[in-house]
Formats: sequence, structure tokens, C-alpha cells
Amino acid sequence: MNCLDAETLAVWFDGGLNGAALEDVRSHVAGCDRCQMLLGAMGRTRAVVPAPVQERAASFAKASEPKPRRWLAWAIPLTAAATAIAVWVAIPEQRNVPVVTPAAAPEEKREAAPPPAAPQPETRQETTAPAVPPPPVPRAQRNAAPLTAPPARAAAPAAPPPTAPSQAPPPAAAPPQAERSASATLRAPLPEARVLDQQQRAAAAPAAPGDARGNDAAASTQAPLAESITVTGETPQGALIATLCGPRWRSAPSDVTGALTAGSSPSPNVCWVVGAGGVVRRSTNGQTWQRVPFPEMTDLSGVQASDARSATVTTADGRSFRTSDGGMTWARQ
Amino acid sequence: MPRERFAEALERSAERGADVRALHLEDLALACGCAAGEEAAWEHFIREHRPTLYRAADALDPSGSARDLADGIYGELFERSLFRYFHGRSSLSTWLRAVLAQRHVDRLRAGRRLEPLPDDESRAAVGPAGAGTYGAAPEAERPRYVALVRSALQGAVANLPPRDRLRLACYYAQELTLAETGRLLGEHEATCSRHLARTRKALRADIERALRTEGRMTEAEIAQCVASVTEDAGPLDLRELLNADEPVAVRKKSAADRSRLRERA
Repeated sequence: MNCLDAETLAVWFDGGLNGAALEDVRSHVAGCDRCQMLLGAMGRTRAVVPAPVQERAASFAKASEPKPRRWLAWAIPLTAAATAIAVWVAIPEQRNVPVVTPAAAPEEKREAAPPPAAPQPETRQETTAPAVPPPPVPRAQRNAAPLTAPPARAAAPAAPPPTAPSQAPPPAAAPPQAERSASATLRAPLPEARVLDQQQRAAAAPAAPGDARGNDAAASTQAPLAESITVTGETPQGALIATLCGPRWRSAPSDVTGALTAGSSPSPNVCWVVGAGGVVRRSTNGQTWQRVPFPEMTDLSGVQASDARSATVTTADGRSFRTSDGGMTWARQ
Repeated sequence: MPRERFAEALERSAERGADVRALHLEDLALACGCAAGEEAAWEHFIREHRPTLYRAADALDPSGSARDLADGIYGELFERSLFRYFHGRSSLSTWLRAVLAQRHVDRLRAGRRLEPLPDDESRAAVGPAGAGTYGAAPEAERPRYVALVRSALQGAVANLPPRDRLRLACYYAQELTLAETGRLLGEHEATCSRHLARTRKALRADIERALRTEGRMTEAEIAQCVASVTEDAGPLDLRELLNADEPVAVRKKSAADRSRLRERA
């Protein structure tokens, strides 16, 4: 092989040589004084090259290396689906949380809590026999979110008792529309349930003339129709935020390791989320989250915000706290 | 820029076996525009690439003597004769550096041919000048040590696989960085570093073996010899040894022939 010409030298330095041509060049340069001097000269001029060009050369060189086989790419979604099914089968508790209407939750609270060991085997039995719903578990009680609904609606008699096996309805048919328009408890899969819930709200709003939210005058003076959704179960934070605040929300508060239980997004860029241990976070730009101090280290189960400064937070034991200054002060209601 | 010109340039690149998908199309279009005399293309070239050319010249020779090479290249570019050699297989800036490096090296080598090469006697004479600073090595033994190590090193380097020789040349003789050396050899810089260490170890073992067998040295003498030469390599030049495809005797003979030719001239 002859000595390197300028073009071959440049292509080699940019990582564009491969195969037999590359091996020929290497074997020649290994024994050629002139070509080695060319390498040295190119090396001495490295500092004059703008950084992007060097990076491009490096990335091109990397890209020209043999790539891993791509024909296994189809296995990625298949593996993900198999993992999801395995998790779904292995953790029956998540999918067996009963649908709780706002009116039913106080009844649950009045009932005695079941023994701690009871939920696990019974929910497994529930997996194979769906006609027999499990008794309410403590998590369901804690995460049920009736507290965002007005007390009058919470006492509505139309809600079926959650413990009646034959009355365990599908989520779309259980509560009256007037009840669903205010608040609902979701169960997995969360995004689908949320879409369904929003559709139900849209359908329910004009059909409830007696409801305060159906009254235009009242709606104009009261808080806007805030989305208040309580989530049971544990999901990855990112997907959870999308569920709590809306599909376009993606970033989750990075400093929250525990479960977030509820969220409320009164406007496209504002969302409040609450969780266990008195966690309250607020975003006013749709991207970053602010820590909002809460007076008690108690589990929070619901939030209903009217704007970036005003929100009502409900604790798991049924108390409500309201702030109208972005969380600087809280008043118990 | 006329599409026909760019299409012709692409055809020329394809004729040279270039993968069209990997071409630097923006730079190729710029070169076509400059070759066509388009003012906007020239303004862009002068703004983006001309400084690169002159900075590269200064990096090659800080004294400024390489600037005339850059002037020459720029003149040829301005006359549009040089752009037709650019096919977009590399970036334009890398190609400009390569053209400059090529001319710089050729000029250096042409100048070196005019200088008399030192013979072995003069090389050996360099060694004793610093005698007395080589630890316990006797002054009289110094030329012998250097000659023995030189011979052993040359044999060890000649026995290296081409890839290892290229790695040594890039890193030690041409002073490329580990990353650059690794990129040229298609390996990560950490891998390159490990290979260099392994090659050094192999060279050391080969040299000691040669000193033991050919030089008939004891272990103590070997240690003294290596320490002496390591402290001051004297006339040993790794760059020269790496490119010693031909035996030293032949190189000496050709150097002597060149000297005689010059004397006759």
C-alpha cells in the first residue's frame, strides 16, 4: 500500500474507515515513518478543531463499530408485557381494591377494621372467584377519597354498600352521576380509569341540575371544576403524576419516595399532589415542584385545589385543612 | 449552488467508494459552492474554516514557519483547484488539517534528507559525555551498554505485531493522546492503555533476554545496563527503531551512500 493521502488520513481521523481498508492503513502505518509523522502532525493540530467536530468524529467512530443485533428488538415489548402480567398476577391486592363511592366511605370507616392478616389470602381467593369481593382492607379505607366531596353528597343513599358481594359493580356503573362528578376513587389500570372518569364527568355535569356544580351561577363564583382524583395502589411516580394531574404531566417530585395518594390540577400549569407523611407538593409551571409545608406528619388522602394558592387537603382520618396563601398557613375546617 | 455541480460531486464521491450515507454533505455542499465561486459560500468558508487552517499551522510550528504552507493551501483553495480533491468523506476541517499536515511532514522530511545522518561512532560518542551520572555503570561500559540495548530493543520492536508497533508509535513517538490512539486503532483508551503496558512489559522481557543470551550478562549487569540506559537513552530513538523495516546495517549503508553522493556532488 502507498503512503496515506490527505483524504484517507482525514477519513481515518474522522472514523470513516472500516473493514479491509482500515486494516490496510493500519498495517502500512505501523511500519511507515512518514505516515506516523502525519499522525503526529494531525495530533498536534487537534486543539484547533472545534469541539463539536471532535465529538461528531468520536460519535461517528462509535457508530461505525459493529452494533448489537437488532432482531431481538421485538422481544422488548413482549418482555415488558410479560412482566406486567406477572406483577398483575403476583400482586392481587392492587387490582382488588373495591370501588368506593364518596357515600360509601364513611360507612367503611364506621365498620370495624378487618384483621391485618385477612386481606392477602382473601384477595387471592378473589382472583379466582371474582363474584366474591374481598372485605374492605385498611389501605382501601385510608386511600378512599370521599373527603373532597361535600358532606351532603357523601350522605347520598344511592351508593351501594361495598361489602355486598352481589352489588360490587363495575367502576363505570357504580355511583350516580352526580356523585361521580365530584370525586371518584380509581383502581388499576389508572390511566384508563381516569379517561373514563373524565368522560363520565363531562356527561354528568349537565345531568345534575340540583348539584351545585351544575348551577352556572354557583360554578362561576365557586372554585372551578377541579380534577380531584384519589389513587389507590402504588404506581411509578411518573405515571402516577400523569394520572393525578393530567396526561401531559410527566415530571414527578424527585424528593418524594413514598406513595402519592391524590392530586388536583385546577389549571393546565398548576397541580397539587399529596401523599403519606404529610407530603404536599405543588407545581405552578408544569415542570418543577415546590415543597409545601403541612402542619402535621399524617397521611393525606385527598386534595382539591382552586388555583395555585388555594387548596383544601384532607387527611386519612377525615380532617380537612385549607390554605389560601400557597401553603404558608393552614386552617382546619 | 447549481444542483448539477452537487450531483457531480456526489458522483465523484461515490466513484471513490464512499458510502453516500456517511458523507459530510454540508461540507461537501460548501466545497461545491466555493468551487463554483459563490460569494456566500466563500464568506462562510472564510469565517468558519480559514481560521482553523491558520491555527493548525501555528500548532504545527509555533515559530510561524508553517504559515506559508497555510497561505499556499488557501491560495489553491481560492483558485478552486484544491476543492475538487475534497469528496466529503471526512469533515472539511479535518481534511484541511490533513492537507496541511501532509505538506508540513513532506517539507520536514525533505529538509532532513539534506542533513547528514549521524553514524554509529558519533552516536556512541554522545553517550560518554554524561558518564559518571549513570549510577554504578563504569564509564567504559556505557557505549557497550547502549549498543547492546539498542540492538536488543530493535529486535524486540521488530518482533512486535504491527498493531502493537502502531500503538507504540502513535502514543510514544507521535505523542497522540490515548483517546486519539485508541480511536485510530478502534479500541477504547483504557484498552489502549492496557495494551501499551503489556507491550512495554514484553519489550523489557525481550531486552533482558537478549542481554542475557547475546550480551552474556549476569542479572546484576543487566540491571545496571538497563538502569544506565533508562536514565539517559542517549542516541536511542524509538521513532527510528519503530520504522526500522530495514536492518540497521542497511540503513547505515544507505546513509553513508547518501553522504558520499553529497560529497561527490
